Amino acid sequence: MKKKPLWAVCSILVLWIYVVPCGAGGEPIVLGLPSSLGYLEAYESKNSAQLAIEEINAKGGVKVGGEMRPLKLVWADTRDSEPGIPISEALMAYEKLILQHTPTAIIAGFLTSEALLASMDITSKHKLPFLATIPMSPKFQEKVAKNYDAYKYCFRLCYDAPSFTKTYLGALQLINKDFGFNRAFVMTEEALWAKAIGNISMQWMKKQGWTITGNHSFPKATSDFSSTLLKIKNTQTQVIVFISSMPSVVIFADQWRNMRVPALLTGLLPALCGDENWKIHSGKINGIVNVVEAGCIPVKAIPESQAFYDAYKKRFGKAPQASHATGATYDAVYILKDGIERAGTLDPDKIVAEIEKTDRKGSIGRVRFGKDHQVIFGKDPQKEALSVDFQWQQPGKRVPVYPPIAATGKILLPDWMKKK
Amino acid sequence: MMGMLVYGTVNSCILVLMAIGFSLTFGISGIANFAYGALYITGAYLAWHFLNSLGLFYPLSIAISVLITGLIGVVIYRGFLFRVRGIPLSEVIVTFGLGTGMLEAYRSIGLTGHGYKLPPFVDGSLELFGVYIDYQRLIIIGLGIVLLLLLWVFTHHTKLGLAFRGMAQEEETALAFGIEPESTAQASFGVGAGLAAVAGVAVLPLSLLNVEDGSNILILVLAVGIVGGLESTFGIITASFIFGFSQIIVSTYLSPLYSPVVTLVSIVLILTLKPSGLFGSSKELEERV
Repeated sequence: MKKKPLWAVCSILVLWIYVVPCGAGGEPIVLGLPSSLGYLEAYESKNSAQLAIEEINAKGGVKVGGEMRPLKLVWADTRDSEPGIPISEALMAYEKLILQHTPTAIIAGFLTSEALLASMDITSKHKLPFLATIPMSPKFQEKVAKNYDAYKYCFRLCYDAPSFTKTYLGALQLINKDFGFNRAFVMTEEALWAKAIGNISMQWMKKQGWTITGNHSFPKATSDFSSTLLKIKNTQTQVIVFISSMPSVVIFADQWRNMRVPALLTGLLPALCGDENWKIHSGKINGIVNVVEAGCIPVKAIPESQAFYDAYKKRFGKAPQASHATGATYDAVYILKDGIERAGTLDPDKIVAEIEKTDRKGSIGRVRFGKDHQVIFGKDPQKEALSVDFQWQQPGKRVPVYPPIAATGKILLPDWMKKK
Repeated sequence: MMGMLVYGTVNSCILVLMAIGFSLTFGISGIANFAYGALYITGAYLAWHFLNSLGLFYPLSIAISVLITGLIGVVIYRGFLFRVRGIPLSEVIVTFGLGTGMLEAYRSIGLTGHGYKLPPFVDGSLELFGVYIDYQRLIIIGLGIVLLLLLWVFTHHTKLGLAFRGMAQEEETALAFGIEPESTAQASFGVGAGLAAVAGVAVLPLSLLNVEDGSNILILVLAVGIVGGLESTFGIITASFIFGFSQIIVSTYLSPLYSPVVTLVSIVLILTLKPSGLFGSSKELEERV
């Protein structure tokens, strides 16, 4: 007799654990997230996917053929961005995730372009709709365009290197217009994507009449930039173009400020994107011009970016800190939901056909895919997805400066340049 | 040219600071501590934690983190190396395994991202011979000099320091004079680990705290040790200045990409021409033969 209440309590507990959190009936639809989870863009993508899934499940889940089904997130740490980890190991982790959890679709996915490109064959083999939101190599859409039948399952929501570069070059145009600067020193991390962006930027600058005062590639673990900064100073450089995803940018920025190098520091600097950086670096990043994807920064012209930004901050206690991917992954979950609901089935080919028709206002702006499955980026969030140039300004604000529709301020020179 | 001189000196002092603890431990215990990079980053992470999570006074955070890292060094020796001391391959495997394990553990508990930064001891910069240099780098130069002086005083005027020197010269003879080799080696491990933490908290305010730095500095420290002579303090200083200046010269006149090449080529050349290093004596007999 005494055992009955205990048995009943256990049953209720089990029911509570398994049924209540879902907020929706039916078997869960599994979404896989394979990425290098120790890195900012990857773990923030995992967070934002979780946020979107919680929101969707709270509203009943995804409607598939008349049945409401919850979403469930599974993930694998592929570690593809860590030193010494070969791509083959990242791919093994990816395939293990697929075989173990049989996901319906994949989101975010890998940190490096090398791993993403290599994984596309596995994605095709398992016929899994894949919405990538982190790597930036244009080779991705080239592969889709060249062999559509094999790679039609692969989509990308984040900016790629050419669209990022277009936004960045907008900032250079502004600098040229406002200050008359036309002498630039280009610094790129020793990585293909960074060099590619550096080369595109240099070609553009030369066409626009800029003088390239120098072009350095540097190893990822560089701990001192004094020799390069002395060179920059001696060549009367006015703008530094710095392309690197490594933390070494912090060393560079510190030395740039301490050596009072009279050149504006600009570029792709993901380590200095999030709003917490001002506090982390005690305001010493003042004046740096950087690029960020909408969603990772709230943009007035995109109300959805503000809504996502606030929801993320509320759920995880701090705002997104990555330069891109966080908002795009959130949007990716909703795009999948819409695609599945429109398809009315979990058949991957039908889902892919519906994702191709996507036209949705998300946190990154208006989301539509090109024929090569790359989301279309531009200057107007009513028509395209948006990335933004911003400058760190007193008192610790990220002030959008380009494109004009997102701009709330103008580029200012650092104090030591003003005095000059 | 003045810029190269100033920053070459700074970079050399950073290398001295990084390598001195490794050299001390090897010179006394004969153990190459491949967990040194992990201890370097441990000291910095601990200081960050005491400063930001517990809100302790910065100098106190540094002092406690150096002390704890030193104790970790003692625990590593007592717990893992005590049984394998004298078997070089096992020593390397144990220290390398522990170092890698520590770094992986930091990664797995989430000590990644761009949010970990130690503040500089003193903020700002000054103009020195027409070159702007930040106070933190000047402090590193001063700290390197002070640390070397303190080590000299310690090894020449304290009982433990004299025991260190006795062990470094000839372990069996030292034993005959009542110096207990195991406890002396253990102490050298603790002091070496503490010095790794000192280097970490002094150098890492120039950058972000990054798990990968634990592996990166190990390569630099090994290069300095191999070229200068692992057990020779004078050799460490000389090699640090060779690397410090050659790297800045190569970066200026060729490309920063060639800086790591200088390090690796130097290791190969020295191992081929003088395996003990410029001022080392561990393989002197073999070299003469």
